[in-house]
Amino acid sequence: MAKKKKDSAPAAEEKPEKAKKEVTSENEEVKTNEKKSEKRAPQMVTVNGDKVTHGHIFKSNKSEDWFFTAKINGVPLKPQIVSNQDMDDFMTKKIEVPQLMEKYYPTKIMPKVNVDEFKLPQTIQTGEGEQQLVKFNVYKQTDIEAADFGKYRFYAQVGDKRMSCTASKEDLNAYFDLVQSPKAIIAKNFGDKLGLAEHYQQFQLPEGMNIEGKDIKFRKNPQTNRFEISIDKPGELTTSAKEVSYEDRQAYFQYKTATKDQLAAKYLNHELANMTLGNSNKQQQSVQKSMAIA
Amino acid sequence: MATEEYEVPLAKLHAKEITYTEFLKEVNCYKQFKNWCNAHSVKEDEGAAQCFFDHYGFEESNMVKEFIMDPVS
Repeated sequence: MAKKKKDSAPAAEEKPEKAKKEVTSENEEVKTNEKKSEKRAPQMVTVNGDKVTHGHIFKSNKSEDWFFTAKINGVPLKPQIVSNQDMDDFMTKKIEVPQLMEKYYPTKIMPKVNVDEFKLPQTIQTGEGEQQLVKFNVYKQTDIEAADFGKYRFYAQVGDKRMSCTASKEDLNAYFDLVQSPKAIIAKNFGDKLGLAEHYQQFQLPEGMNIEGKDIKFRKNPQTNRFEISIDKPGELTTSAKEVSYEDRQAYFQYKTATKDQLAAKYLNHELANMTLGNSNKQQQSVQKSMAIA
Repeated sequence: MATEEYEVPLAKLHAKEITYTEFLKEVNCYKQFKNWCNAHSVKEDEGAAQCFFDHYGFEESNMVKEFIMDPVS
């Protein structure tokens, strides 16, 4: 939070009264208007109509880090560490305040949801049918034995189910800035526990790999007696088999809120991404070799 | 958000002489905190006050004032 700093405040933001004193000619009114029109325009106006000003990068003399901060409607924002690349790009005007806002304060510029969506109780369509969202709140972990001690957590009660999890910075900001409703946060963080279709919609297999339903193997391992999912595309790609959780099996077999594709994406996308990366590295090495031979 | 001097209330908060709720009152941000609670349909309790305090970055106020470079518009 920035303290008001008179000596660093932009000159253009001086009060019009001061400008008036500087005017001595007979065209006093015209010149006063000119001075008034010099007031700096916002660096950006968000979709919510909020005005962004004072966007700048600075270096703290407490550390080697560079920070970006700005004001929204005159309210100073919590400074965010910026990369050296962004700092260089900003100084050379390759990027400007709107791009930095988008990257470092995304939830400050997103459209806000209706405040009615924060009022409880509400109903949620779960895998087991319509249930009541009784409670949703954010709290700080105070158990010193917990791995996430000092971090914020989400708590939700839907029907008789009580759930909690560590909140990611993105979700916390989204909640705080009213750009994501409790329902949306629940779908993202507890969707599998409730068998919500919205939860599984976030998982998609990578485009371009042409993985079809017949390539996805979802079956019980006879040795372990557990359900596993894998992708086997003969001659092209084969992944390892990952055990599927009880909640995800319920969503697939019982509630029908998850598809085989979505479960494959949920469990195997990381491996598929690594494969893609490995292939592109191999191709790059092959090109380099052939260039060296030529 | 008011932009008063935060150093003294921050020191009091660190020394546990005041609560987060009292801090917000002392720096004239209680009304904003109240509005935030209303919008989120949460109670105005000490936990919510701490959440508001952490999110707004009052703790970082000392860092921002130590500009090396002038603000760039």
